[in-house]
Amino acid sequence: MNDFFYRTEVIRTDEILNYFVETKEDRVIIDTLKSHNPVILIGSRGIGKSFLLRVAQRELELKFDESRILPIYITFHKSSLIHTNDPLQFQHWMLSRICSFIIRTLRKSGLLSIIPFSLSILAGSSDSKDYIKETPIEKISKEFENSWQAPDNQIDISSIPTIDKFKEAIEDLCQELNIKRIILFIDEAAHILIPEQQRQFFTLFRDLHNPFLTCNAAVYPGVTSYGETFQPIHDASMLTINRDIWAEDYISNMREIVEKQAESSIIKNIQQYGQNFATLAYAASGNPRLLLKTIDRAPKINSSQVNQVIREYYREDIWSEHSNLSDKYYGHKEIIDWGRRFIEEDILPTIKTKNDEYLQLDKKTSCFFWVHRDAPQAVVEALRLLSYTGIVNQHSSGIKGTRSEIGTRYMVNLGSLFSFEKTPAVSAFEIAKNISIKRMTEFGAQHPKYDSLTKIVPKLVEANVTDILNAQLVKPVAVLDITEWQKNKLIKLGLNTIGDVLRSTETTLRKAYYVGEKRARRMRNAAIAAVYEYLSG
Amino acid sequence: MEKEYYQELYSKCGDILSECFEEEYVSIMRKNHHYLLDINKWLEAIDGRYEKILLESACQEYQYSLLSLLQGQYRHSFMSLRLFFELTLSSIYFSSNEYEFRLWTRNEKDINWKQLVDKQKGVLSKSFIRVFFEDIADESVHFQTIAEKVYRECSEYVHGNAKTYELISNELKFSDEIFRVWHEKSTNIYFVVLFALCSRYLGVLDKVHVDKLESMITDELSHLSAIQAFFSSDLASETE
Repeated sequence: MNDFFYRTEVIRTDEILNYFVETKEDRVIIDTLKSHNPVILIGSRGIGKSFLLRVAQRELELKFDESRILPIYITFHKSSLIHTNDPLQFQHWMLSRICSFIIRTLRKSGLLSIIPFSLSILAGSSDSKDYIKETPIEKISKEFENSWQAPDNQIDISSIPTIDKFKEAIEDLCQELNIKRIILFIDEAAHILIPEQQRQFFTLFRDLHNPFLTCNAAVYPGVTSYGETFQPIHDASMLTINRDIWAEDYISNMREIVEKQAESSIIKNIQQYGQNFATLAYAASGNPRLLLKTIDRAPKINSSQVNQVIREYYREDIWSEHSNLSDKYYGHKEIIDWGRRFIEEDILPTIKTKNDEYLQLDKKTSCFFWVHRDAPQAVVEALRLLSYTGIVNQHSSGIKGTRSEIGTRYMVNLGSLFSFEKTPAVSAFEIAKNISIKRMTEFGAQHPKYDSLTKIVPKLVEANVTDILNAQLVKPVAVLDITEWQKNKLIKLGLNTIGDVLRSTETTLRKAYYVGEKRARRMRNAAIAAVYEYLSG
Repeated sequence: MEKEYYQELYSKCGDILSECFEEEYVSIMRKNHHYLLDINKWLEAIDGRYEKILLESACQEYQYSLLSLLQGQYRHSFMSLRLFFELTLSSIYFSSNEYEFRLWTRNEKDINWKQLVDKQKGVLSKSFIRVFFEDIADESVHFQTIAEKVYRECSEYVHGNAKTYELISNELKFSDEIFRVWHEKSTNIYFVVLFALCSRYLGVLDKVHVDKLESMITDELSHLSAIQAFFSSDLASETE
């Protein structure tokens, strides 16, 4: 039984570096995250955003005594649970959460032997007794996070500081505690389908920047509602995580990532079936989570398992996350479903037919398509949602197509492309090795394939979060993105639905025979993280 | 009275042994036993070398491990399996250092797992293997990882980690799951042991012994280009 970590949240911060396989691109991102400039880190699900934030955090923690730069990791993965009548609810919640995490980190770091006055602004109380237990600001943050259970309750936000007061407090705090700078690493910063939260987040992000505070945030590629004041590039470096799958060391890096987590048998099988492993690594298109999940299902790495997992996972399962979006956010249903049809019925078969011909003629193969920059907005939106799950990746924009027209080049997930092969273990490796960036299937500004979407004119209504949430809470744990072993454990404990897991405690999980405190926490963390992720998209 | 008590346990062990040879498991058992025969061939190949006594002890330990498995004494079977692994790698370690070997025979040196798999100087390190079989040295890093993992996995059973209690019953009885886990670990250990023995000795053994070992090695390691090249050049020299 191999129990892979699909998510960074499950790994303890002090252990994170044990699982880190560094590439040159990773190093550039980590160093930028540790610098003074704010960064928005963009990447699809499972590509490794949280992991890089955690590595940057850990490296700064280890050097704190020297550099006096204090890293603080915060996740906003609970944004889908916030539901109050407060029009600025997200801003209030996010600010209270940031305050809470600053206090928590200071408390844990042992820097609070003398409690500085400035801390009272962040804590919402000057009573020093509050610092030992829960401060008013921490209570507010929790009240927001529990608001899904009683949306009509009023939350008293009077203890939340204004942005200016907050920034002053940070400045004073840094000076009083001899801290050079605080760096915030905000994970799951903007909810993919709640534009209001995105707007409030980016506005807050921009407003918070000052010489004593740097904000970094990880977001999905589809997040584009920046609000009125935030200007991408100008207000933050926009970095995208894209692993170069044609780099010389790509396969060996992916192999090392797996080896760090896998049991001996899997490592032995990889050693014996190197090319099959390479096929799975290419199929994952640079996404470690996709690779771990397929290895988990094909632990023998032999040809029959590899053929099966590519056909099943990349033809069925990978789409379930995408289609889940349309179940949860009904307003986007037409766009989401059209996107799937466009890729499955048009893009993939077309590229597959071309590749078959190319390979017969010993020519270069393809996995790219190009969309004219004047394509309808709904098409762009559909591709945006496809890039969230990593089925499509925006490769580069401003690319010249035929007749010098300008457009965007997209890459389809290689696993999805391989899933059209009869025996991927035989043919996929050759396709991957021969791919050329120059070959792409083009879709102009008025391509007939868009018609079925543009005729519908989808209604993009912002959904009622409570209705969505209630519908999700009764769903079975089977929908969660955790290993079969973990699912069975939850069911054995009587945690059958998402709601059950969300309301569970570590004590419940510890009831399982021989599941100790540490393991119970890890199991719960994995389950809860999967719940939040499920709700986030 | 005590005698009856233990005779009862002994008879349960016998029942477990019979189950292990039922049709479903017989091919696994054959494979497990075959590993022992394979290592015996290496004993013949290195006959006359001082480190042979360690490899002999290793074989004995493997036999005990298998016997414990057949009798349902699962924790003990992992203990001996791990010791088999340690002794095999120790024989290779000492083969390159007679001084340390002599200290060990005088009880003045212990065998230390960390030293055996040290990334810089251990028997699976690139620098160690390079000296004996340069072409295969680049592969060593993966075998090193397997060695470390499988040793730790066996240790979980030896030390009685919480997870292993879910598998190993308090009662003396056959367990399909643990039987298969043991086989999986022994297969992985055999894989590393075979690689380590090849790395150390293939370059120095005479042709007669190499011929005897060939099918066993190519069965497991023919995916390594260095092994393919070694045996094809062997074939070429034969044809000449």
